[in-house]
Amino acid sequence: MTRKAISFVELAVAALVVGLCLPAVLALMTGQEREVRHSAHELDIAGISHGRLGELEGQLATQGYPRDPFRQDRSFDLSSSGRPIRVREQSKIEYLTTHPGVFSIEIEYTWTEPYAGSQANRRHLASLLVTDPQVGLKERPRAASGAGGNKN
Amino acid sequence: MVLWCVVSVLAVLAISGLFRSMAASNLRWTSHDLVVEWKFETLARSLIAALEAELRRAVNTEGPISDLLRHSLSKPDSTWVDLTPFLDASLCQTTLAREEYAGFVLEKLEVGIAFQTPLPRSFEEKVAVAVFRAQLKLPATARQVSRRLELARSIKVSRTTIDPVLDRYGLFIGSATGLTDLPQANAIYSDLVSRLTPLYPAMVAQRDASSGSVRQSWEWVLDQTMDPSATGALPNKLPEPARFAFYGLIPSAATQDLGPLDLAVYLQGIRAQVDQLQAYWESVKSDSSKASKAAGALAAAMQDGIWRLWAYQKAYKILPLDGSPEAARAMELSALLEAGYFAPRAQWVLREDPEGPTVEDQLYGLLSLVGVASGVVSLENRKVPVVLRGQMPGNLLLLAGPGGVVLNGVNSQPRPGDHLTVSAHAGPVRIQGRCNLTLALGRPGPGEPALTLEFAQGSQLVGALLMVQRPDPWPDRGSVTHRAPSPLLPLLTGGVARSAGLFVAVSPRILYQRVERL
Repeated sequence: MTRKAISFVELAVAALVVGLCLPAVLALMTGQEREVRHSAHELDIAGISHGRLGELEGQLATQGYPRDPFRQDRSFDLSSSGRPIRVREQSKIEYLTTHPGVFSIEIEYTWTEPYAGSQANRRHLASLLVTDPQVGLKERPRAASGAGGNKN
Repeated sequence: MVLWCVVSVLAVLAISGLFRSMAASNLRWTSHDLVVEWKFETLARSLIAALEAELRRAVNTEGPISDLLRHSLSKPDSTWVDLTPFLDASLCQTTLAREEYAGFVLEKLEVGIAFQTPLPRSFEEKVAVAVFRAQLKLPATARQVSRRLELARSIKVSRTTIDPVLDRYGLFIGSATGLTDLPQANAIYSDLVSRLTPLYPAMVAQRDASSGSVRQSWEWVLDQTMDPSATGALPNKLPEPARFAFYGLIPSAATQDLGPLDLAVYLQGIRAQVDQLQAYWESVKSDSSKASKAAGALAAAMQDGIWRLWAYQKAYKILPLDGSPEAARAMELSALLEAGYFAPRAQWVLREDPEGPTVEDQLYGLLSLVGVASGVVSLENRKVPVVLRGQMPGNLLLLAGPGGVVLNGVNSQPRPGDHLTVSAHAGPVRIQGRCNLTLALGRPGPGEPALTLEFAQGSQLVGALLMVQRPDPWPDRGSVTHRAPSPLLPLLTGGVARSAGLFVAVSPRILYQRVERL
């Protein structure tokens, strides 16, 4: 009787351990856990880039749409939000001389995934075109030669 | 029994593992979708920005879009006017090809005028609503749906000068009552004529009675003197309405000193001079060596007064405000100079901010940023006059606030095609140096200070001086030289003269923006 009872306990403990570990083991085996973490990082970075685009757009508006290119290279980590990764951000604002009145904002984020083994290096790109609201006022309206009408 | 328990526990744990797996997968897709939605927004905004820049450049450059926006309009119109075919969308294609937007498919990109309505008292000036739409299919890895971003901005088409019907006047005063004492001017004129009438035959008699060099001297003086008895030699008297409008200075480059516009005061000065010369003539008329010269000077002074009255009615129209159709027309023209006429045409408004830069600093900041500026700018200076100085290239209509305006040698050397128009309706208006502009003066609103007009010593306004009513006091110095405004743009639509001088501004503010799931 005693021997049988011990056997039941052993069985129950074994089942509990296997049952608890099984989903985790399955997740690790299928790479699901890793992908979930990557997605969470990707979402974090995408959110940051979305906000940063708005910030740079506002910077353009407040600084009067300067024609000189603006570049910034900085790094930050996401440890405060529980992500053990460090991100490098390279942003660029450029006046498109080929398309007067348009500014291009480009941001590139690079980081290393700590759980990804050889696929560690990740990249996220974000961009936005912004119109200078003063375009059209800067250039003097001109008349095409040979068009009809009085040119006074 | 025990075995069943173990199997049950395992089953429950397996199911929980499955749910966890599904939840994790769902979370992954949701976060992916969220990233795709953000990318859609930035892509759609980028496509619209590229199109918007094209539109902003096209609205004031000769072409189909410029023509479409300048079409006459008699009533509000909500017909869709598609502008997309006239815009270059190459930048949109470049943007779509970027790595971060891989998988997005452009379904539709368009811009057009959704609504337009004319501004008061105009068929060409209008407010319109431009709507931009970018419709994209999201990448195949996300849900198979399309999204459309719609964004609207207002467009205002305004004239950067006064209404063209006023162009012909170098000087216009809608209500000029009190500009001069017309009965007194006529009385002095009659007095001068009555004195010249006997003088002329007396001079002829003196000539006939003389010989040699004295006779030659009389003949020379008589050649310079009008015979008041000759038919048509004397002008008619001025009309003497109780209330009148006053306008004229039609020929280009014609100049008028403002002081002599008070003709009665000017003729008073001439009569005082005539009185002195007549006394001298009476004293020397028997002295053959001095008589001809004294008579000539007296006659010349009288003639100056007579010709001044002739020129006054030749150059200007004194229009009785008596309810006639002509008078009603003058009142209509006056209304085109009121602050209430210009206010809805403002394309930019610069407001006073006690903690920020002054309106004047804001204006010059804007001009330095833009370089060559055109458009209608409302300056809401309430207490301090805005000082306009230096060159203001472009075609600007500046609407000064009740704080007034100082025009300090502004646009003294204008470039061909440039024209500045300044509208003021209250507060001090002071002109210093040589200013090239059209000055339109309205009337103050309730609670606003009275408008005063002052010309500094030696100042000259080249352009036009147009006012709703005579300022009090009337400036006793300064001059106006007529120069009609040059149109901002050539006649874009081949013969529609009124389209000249129209400037199109696209608002920097977004009227509305919405995303639709299709």
